[in-house]
Amino acid sequence: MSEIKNEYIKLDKSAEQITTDLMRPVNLSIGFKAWMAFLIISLAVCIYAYTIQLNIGLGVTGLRDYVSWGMYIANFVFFVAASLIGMLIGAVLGLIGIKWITPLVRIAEIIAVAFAAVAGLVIISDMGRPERLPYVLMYGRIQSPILWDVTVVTTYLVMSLLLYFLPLIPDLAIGKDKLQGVPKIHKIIYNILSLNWVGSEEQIKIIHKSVRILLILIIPVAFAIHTVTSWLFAVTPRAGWDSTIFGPYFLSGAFVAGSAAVIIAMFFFQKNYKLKDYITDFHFDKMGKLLFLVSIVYFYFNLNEFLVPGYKLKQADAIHLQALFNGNWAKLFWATQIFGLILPLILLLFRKMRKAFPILIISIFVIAGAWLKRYIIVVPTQEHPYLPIQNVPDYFMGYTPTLIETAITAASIILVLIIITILSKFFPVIPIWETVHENKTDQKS
Amino acid sequence: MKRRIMIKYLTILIPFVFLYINSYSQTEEWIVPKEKKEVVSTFNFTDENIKSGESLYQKNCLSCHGNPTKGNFAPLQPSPGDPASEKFQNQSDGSMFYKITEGRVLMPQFKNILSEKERWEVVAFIRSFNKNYVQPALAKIDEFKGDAVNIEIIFDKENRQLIAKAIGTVKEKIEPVKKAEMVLFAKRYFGNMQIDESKRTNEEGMAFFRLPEELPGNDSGYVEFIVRLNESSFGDIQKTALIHAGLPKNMEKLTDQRAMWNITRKAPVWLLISYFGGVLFVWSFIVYILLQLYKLRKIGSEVTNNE
Repeated sequence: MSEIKNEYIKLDKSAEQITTDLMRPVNLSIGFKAWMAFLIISLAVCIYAYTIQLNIGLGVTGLRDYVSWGMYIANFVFFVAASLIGMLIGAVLGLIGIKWITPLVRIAEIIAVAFAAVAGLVIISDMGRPERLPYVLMYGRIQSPILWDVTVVTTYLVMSLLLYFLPLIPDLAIGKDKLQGVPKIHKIIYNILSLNWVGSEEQIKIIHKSVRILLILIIPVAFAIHTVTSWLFAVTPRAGWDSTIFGPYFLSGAFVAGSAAVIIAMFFFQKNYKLKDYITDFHFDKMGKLLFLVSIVYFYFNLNEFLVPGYKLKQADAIHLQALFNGNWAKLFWATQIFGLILPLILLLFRKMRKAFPILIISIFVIAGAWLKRYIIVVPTQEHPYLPIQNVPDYFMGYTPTLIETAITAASIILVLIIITILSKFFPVIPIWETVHENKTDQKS
Repeated sequence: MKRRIMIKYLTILIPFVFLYINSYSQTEEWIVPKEKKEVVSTFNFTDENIKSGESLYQKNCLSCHGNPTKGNFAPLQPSPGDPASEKFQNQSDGSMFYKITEGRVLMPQFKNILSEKERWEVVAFIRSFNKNYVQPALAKIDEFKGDAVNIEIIFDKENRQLIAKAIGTVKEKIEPVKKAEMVLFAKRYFGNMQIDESKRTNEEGMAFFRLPEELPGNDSGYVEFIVRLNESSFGDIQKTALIHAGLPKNMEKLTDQRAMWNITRKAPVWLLISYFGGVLFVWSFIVYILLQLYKLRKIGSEVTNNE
């Protein structure tokens, strides 16, 4: 019962009905319990793998003298990338007044919080002596991009949490009376977190002002977080990393990964939380267009990143590009570029492909491609150092992740899913207060 | 016309031919003068000599020659070879000593780096891998009639020369060491640099070395000089002295100024301002928003209380 109006969905529902609809998924259903049990058991298995690494050291991974950054760092870059979507949808699209994002903002923000929170843990998993983490702050040099990275990731996480929490306050106040079939503690948490929200004009003003400050401020911070992550590579003179466009290259790639993540989450919430009236084909179509836009920008940066050094073929670049284009990385490289970027670009041009199910499939390919792309950026460069590899065993020359390493990486992905599940199950996933508010103003006009 | 072209080509070609022959002979054969081949050590190779020879070898030879008997020498042209190999062991002690002393192509000259005794100790170490080796009879030493030789180093600032005076004690009577060869070195990072030519001592046991005008010293202008008495009959005698005879080398250290590669305390100012400025700016807003949330909560409690 809805129609497309002013570039967003106008709901033919009362405020009461909307509230009931959006609070309905907030409960401890059997499906949720089973899913959480599955996640926690998987996590336990993977954490066992981590205890092995903790006891024996990084020797249990495939990392050696030459390739010392592997799956962990690639995964870290991917997590930071995926978390940027919170800024793109909430801040960039929100500030220019695009209305259709209302039901998607919180989903994007949940993804941002989950990925940013676990990104830090991924870095710790790459440390042989994690108990020495405080040394980064105690003895770290301010000139090191690693210190900048720690700073901006922490800042971005705090700001994303605030951007998730602030618009949630009115919803918590609305929702605390609607909660049904949940433990008492759930209601108490709602009560505490709603911060005595009564919806007075003053309170509304505070929320509006604070959210606005955060939305403006998070744009440079989000740019900083991924640009600094790209600098971890770009400040070295190594072939494949020595690039002046690494900042924008990473940033544009980040939006691709994030948009795909949001589309997958949208599909899941629409189906499982029965939100068909709120997340519609119209939203999938819009997200499809957004994914196309960010992908074509990313494609443009890819063209620059590979064509220019590929034309000059400086000696070290030539060795590196040969490995990517024709050598032992060729299969993975071309599969990633074609299935993760070029084919999705072509398919997204068709309206039919931007419907819920087809775009879900495309997004899964895009997000898998995005993960593998980080792997291709991180690993091959280290296999071709400037000084010859000598006096080491043969298996030091290349890099193959071990099972333990893969399990620890899987743990981080499971942890992201757990955070997303908890945030979306314990609290309404679509902003109630804003939806009702927007619907009301529209009815008046 | 044709002849002129021929000549032209020949003039170009001939140097190359010589170069080729020259490089060929250098890589293939290392001719040691006959009299040098017959040189023998002045002392018996003891276990102690072998031991100190080993540590000298580790420091100076290992990087190219590898561990003897392992054949893990560096792949260079001409090949350094394994000192334990037959090719090495088949040469005379004198040949080995000569090659270590003089060096060739990539093989460095060690005459200014290792003392004569040290070079012989390296030979002793190399020989220790040869079970069939029998040390030839020792070289005859002209017996020194005195008990001890001392070298005194005097810096003559006015004439910028260094005077080395060798004095021996003969029957408790101090006498100059006459007509002995003396060499002066300045100590550098790797090995020693010879200064002026080798000189013979005069009747008073003195040798005079002219110092270059702009001799670089340490940061306060001191140079470490080594004077060596190159007369094997006196044994291995050298004397070092730290003398204020050089120019102070005021090279600015790379870590003196604020720089990207320095410690945090010496980080570039622009970086400190950008980093702390950025962090302070963003976090002041975050703190402000947290305060706003506190305010929001207070407003709510007031409203509910009034009701």
